Amino acid sequence: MTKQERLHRQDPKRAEPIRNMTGYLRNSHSWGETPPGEESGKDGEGAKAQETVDDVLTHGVNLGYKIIDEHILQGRRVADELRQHRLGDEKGTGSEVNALVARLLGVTKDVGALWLDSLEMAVKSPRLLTGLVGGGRHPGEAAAASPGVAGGNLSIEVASVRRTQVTLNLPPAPQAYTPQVHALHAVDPAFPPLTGVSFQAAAGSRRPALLVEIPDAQPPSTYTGVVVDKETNEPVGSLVIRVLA
Amino acid sequence: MKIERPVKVAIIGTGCASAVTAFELTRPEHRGKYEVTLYQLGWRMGGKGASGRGPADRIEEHGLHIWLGFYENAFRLLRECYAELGRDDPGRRFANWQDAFVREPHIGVVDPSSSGGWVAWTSLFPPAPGLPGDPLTTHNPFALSNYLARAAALLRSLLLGLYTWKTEEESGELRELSRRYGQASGLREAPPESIAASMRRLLKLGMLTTAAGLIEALALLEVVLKSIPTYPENLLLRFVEGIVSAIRAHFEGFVTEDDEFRMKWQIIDLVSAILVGAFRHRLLLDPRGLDAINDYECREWIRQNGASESSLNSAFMRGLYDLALAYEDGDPSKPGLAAGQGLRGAVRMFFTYRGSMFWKMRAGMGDIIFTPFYQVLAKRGAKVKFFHRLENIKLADPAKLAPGERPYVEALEFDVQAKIKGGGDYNPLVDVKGLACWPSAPDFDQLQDGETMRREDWDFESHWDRRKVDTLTLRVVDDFDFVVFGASVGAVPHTCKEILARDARWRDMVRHVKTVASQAVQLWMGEDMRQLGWAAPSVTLSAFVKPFDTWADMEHLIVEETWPTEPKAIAYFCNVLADPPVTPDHSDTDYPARRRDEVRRNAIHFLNHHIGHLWPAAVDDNGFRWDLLVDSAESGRGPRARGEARFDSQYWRANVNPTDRYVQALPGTLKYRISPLDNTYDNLTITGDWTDCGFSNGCVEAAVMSGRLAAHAISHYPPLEDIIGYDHP
Repeated sequence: MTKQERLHRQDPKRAEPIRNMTGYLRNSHSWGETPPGEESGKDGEGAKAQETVDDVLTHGVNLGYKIIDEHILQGRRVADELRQHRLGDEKGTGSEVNALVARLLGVTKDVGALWLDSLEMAVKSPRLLTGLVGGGRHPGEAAAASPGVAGGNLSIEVASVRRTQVTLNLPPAPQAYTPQVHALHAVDPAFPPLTGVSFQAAAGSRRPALLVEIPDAQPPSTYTGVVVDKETNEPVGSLVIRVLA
Repeated sequence: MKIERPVKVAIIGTGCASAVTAFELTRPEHRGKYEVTLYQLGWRMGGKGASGRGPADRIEEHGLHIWLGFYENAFRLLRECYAELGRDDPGRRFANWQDAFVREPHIGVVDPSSSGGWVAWTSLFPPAPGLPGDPLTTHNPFALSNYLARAAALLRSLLLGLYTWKTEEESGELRELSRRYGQASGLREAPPESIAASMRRLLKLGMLTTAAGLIEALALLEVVLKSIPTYPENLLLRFVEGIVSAIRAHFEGFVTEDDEFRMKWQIIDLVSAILVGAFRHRLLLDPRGLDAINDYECREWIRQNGASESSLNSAFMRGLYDLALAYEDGDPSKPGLAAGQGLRGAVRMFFTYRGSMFWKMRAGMGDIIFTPFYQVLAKRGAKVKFFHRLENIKLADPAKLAPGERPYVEALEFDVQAKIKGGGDYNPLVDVKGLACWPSAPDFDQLQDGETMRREDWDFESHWDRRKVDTLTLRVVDDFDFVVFGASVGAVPHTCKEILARDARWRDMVRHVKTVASQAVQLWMGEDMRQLGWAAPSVTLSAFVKPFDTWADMEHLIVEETWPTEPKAIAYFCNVLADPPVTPDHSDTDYPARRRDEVRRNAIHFLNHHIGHLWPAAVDDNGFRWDLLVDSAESGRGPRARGEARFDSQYWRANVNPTDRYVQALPGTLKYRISPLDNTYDNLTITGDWTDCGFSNGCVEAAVMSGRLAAHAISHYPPLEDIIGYDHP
């Protein structure tokens, strides 16, 4: 046998574990393993979970993670389909891929809102408010009247060198309040938070405006944050800003 | 070049790692691409995990093998193995993997009591949802911030308990604190700026001096740990240090002889130090995760971060070290455990177990683990060549390598210890109560000149018995394409001389990745544990007197053995065995027997002088009641021996073979491990719990992870992300 017939091992994609777990997302599918959520462990003990803030948040977070997992799985399917693209079948493959891509974009937009909806639900649930710390007012209590949002039109001004999508979720409130937004964060903690986001009176108008300033070097990602009542610091809505590549 | 023929893979050894590599490569999904042959010295699979059946079909192990509830990879593959066998033969014993295990939630440590004697602190660890090996539904199940948040919650619970114990007049206020902070913390929805302001307030106004302030601070910390990057690092460190200082100020000076208080305080002290250390060393942001502190000795690292000597010498720390056999050279005065891996093992063990924290096997490890793997591998066409001892891995002449060609294995040289009559394959299994088991001795009747070998007492598993009947050389391309070396790091100096001569990394590896010999004793007794004076439930207990600091109640195995007069109790003991200054080479053929005698003497001394603390009714004024021991040869005819001589009917061993030595995780050594993914020799990979496999501790789970990595090195499957816990802080 000649040396040329000797087999060689191919280098793996990586040869070390990932120790920095913050941004790590795991693909749980391999060798026919059931996708997450479809198979539950045979838990004979099954203590019933108490409804606490922690549980609701965990549920919301898990829902968000499942959507992210599904997002990644669908993305991989799209990539696989593109790799297996056959000549002569361009039209059919293209429309299917476009549909998948559109679904992915929609899913991505919804993740942040879903997460924050869970937070909002948790905070406003009367059952969960029992024993909460802070002596704060019940969210149903009115904030001190002040000029602010009470539903209605609100303008958005964006200063960015890149394409940016802004999704502001401010459900109608019974009383006016002054909105404030804290820094928005990406999933990857290495990305700097978006701090150039604020509510101000629009130029020449008493109506509030959302001002969004994106630094040139801001990494493309989805940044999410909470909109709060400036007076009470209670969450009143959510803000999602997608900085595109 | 398209390869039509199967890829031939030669795997050295049949321990957990090697068996798993074979299992992965022979998956039906590979469609027969890999033709796997395993080479094993002696007559049985399993390596350090091999077990046998002796007199009365009693199970005879290398030591104590307990599976932990976080062994996700090990359980997952075992469940797949059982499922594959179950499909073919649903009527077999232990067709369901859950039938093959007993959950062990009762775990304990032992500490000298302040009032003299010993106190056993045992705990029933609650069942956790799910079962090990279930699919993971969380996309990021392992995050250091989550572990530390749970540690903060644990600290809060323990402190509330201690406050209540200490000052009864504050119990009303503390009950309010417990209600407010015990579960639903209203802090999570607060924005980061508000939480940061709360931290500053608590620090500035000295509120940590009050119980209320301290409990609130811990609740804040738990929230903060979930979103670390949001907060300034220096504030976090000051906050954590402030909390811990306040905790110590509250309790450290408190004098009590109450053992329970002391033990709870020791846990608080240790957890506090770990929290401080995590922030001081910036572990949550370090890309190396817990590996960043592997150069520190674990106890030393915790000491540097403020734990007291009392806590550092507590039963919990000793139990952790005993579990890891973390005594360099087998010397109890030289405890050594890499801090990062020690913490990684602790958080996995306590915070990620599923089902039960410990799982005991219902028969020998060979019967429960290696028999199913052997049967599945056989079904899939893999071969196991018993009685083949690797002598040398021969590398290709470097002068003959083409430019850019990597070094490679040219040949494998074996001693053939025995040949099978008729030239067929060796049938290794025996039937015990319908279960296919591995015997404690080879079936000499199957071997050519077997009677002579039996008479001359050939010990095929001993490093000091080099007798053989032939040699065998396998050549690359003709006989193998890839080699997986899974014979343990102890075998490397004896079988990989050419690699060691040329490769500095391998020399560093064998110098630094150390192993330790171990000793094990198994007792069968005619009275049950309650009669012997142990009133608590069946237990696995550690941190007791050396050298047998770990004891496991194995009564559940009685039904699997075939005793003429059934014993009422089975006890396993194990731990390290100190090395002599120089370990003799294989020409000193009497060495194993001398070490075995040493273990016998150790065991007799232990039973006469120490076991009475745990089993008070097992001893009398003369020491251990030797009449308790059940001798399978007596069979109702009266005692064959009296006094200490009855010990000779029991089972004990000194694990001194190089491949039987336990792999340690000493500080400063883990960086010298080599990964199975390393591609320096492009047709050789390594596998075992001694490799850089993501969990650098001697255990089944590390071996299984390594086996899966070795399979990935050859076939790029399973995906690395699928090796649970490989990617872990």
